Amino acid sequence: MSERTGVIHDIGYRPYTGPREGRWGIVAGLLRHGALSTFGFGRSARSKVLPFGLLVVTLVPAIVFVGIISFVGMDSELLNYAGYQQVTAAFVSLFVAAQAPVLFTRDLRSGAISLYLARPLGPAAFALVRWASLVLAILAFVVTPLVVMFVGGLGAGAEVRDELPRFLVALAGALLLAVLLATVGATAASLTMRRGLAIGGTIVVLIFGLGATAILQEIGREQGVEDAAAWLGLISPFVLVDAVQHGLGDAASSFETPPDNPTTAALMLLIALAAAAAALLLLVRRYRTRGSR
Amino acid sequence: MNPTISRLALQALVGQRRGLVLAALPLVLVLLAVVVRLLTGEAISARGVLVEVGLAVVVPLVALLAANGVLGPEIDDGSVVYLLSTPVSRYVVAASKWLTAAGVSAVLGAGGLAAAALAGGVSGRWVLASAVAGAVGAVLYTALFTAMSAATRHGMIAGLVYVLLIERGLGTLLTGLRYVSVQSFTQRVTEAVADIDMPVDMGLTYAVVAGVFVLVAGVAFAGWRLAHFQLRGDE
Repeated sequence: MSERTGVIHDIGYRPYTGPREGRWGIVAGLLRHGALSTFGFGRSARSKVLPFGLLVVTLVPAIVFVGIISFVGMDSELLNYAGYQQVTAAFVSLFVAAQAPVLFTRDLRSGAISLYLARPLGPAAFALVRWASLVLAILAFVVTPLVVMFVGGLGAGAEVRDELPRFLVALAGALLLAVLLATVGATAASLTMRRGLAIGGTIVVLIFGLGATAILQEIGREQGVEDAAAWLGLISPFVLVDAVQHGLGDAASSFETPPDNPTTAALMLLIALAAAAAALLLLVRRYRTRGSR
Repeated sequence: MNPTISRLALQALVGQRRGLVLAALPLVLVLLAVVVRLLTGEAISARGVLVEVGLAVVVPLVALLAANGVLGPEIDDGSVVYLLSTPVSRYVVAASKWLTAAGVSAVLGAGGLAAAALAGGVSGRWVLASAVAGAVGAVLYTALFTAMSAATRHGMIAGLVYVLLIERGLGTLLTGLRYVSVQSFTQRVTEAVADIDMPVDMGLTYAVVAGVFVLVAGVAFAGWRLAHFQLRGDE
């Protein structure tokens, strides 16, 4: 290129020659952007209303518990970290259902995805990073009330020694819940590609699954088949997290028939993770086929 | 009513396997009734399965999906402009769309609930009650949700907040909310028609008047919103 003779069209444009971020830079940027836009950052003010409104509503029970403890006195039964997500299951489900389409429907539907996937990050990495950013956002959503309760409880005179183990079990449970919920939301959103349908599908799976599990477990307890009924927890992420926290972390259960046996809980955990992995494979395949159009 | 708009809405709603999504929920309800009956070996608890799950979750969700399916996608992708540029009254557009959504969800709601009642082996009066509750609930809910989906791009969320937070969440704590709850109107009307006992305390006249009000006001509001439709960007 040194023998450049034509100068008419060379109007001095220069390519970018500075340092480039590389693969991990792209991943980090995509992760941050996805997690923030789930909460409406970088989008219009109206799209921040729903995530933050739901977050505030989800915090209300935690604040009430802390208030009761501060004014009435310490009763450690109130600080039930592990059972918190089961209390606010409707809000958490709404958050997942409403915010997963933000990350998973627009680019797939508009076809802009093939432009993204033409970049160094391939479809598999792109889909997984998107999923991971949804996990991060849901984690932030479900952990915030736990932190409020923990810090508030300590401020009201609870012992760190008593609270910390239970808090850590609930944190692990929250992580598992975030992984499972993000998988449900991402699968529904990427398969339907329409916001309305995706929201409906996620809600059906989460809320209806929770209700049906509760009914079936109650019947199982009445019929005296608690061990079999414990396996029904696999239908609903909320019940499953509760079962794992109860079986492996010795937390108080909020449902009728939690597994008392750690092996059952561990097996349930493995099956749920395997199902999530299968759903992620489906998600990656979805991005491959859509991206190659 | 405009038959063409209704027919196109029906195609948008059930065409291309989308009808399966709508039918999935009633089917799961029937399955639940069968499983419960097989497990316990006796008739299902009508209140537990048919009212608490069927009327409180399945009917509103089917109505929500149907009502948002006839209007939401068109507003979302902007093709509603072509519909609105036709010389058809916007009120007729809204009413035709609502008619399709109401018809589909009434068939699915009434059929699903009645089938679940039959499969669950409850008394004949409860079968009738399930069908009535499914149909009345579907018609009223679709009117409400059509209005919501015309009012905001987030009609799905608005409807879910109404069903999950106001009717189910707060409704159990603040019983006064029954006076603005479509579910309570449906329960009261069903109680009167099928001569059964529902957990609702409300005057029949109020329930009927409020139900008709939701119906007329919902469809009229959707038409009014379409008449004042503004083109906007994505967010």
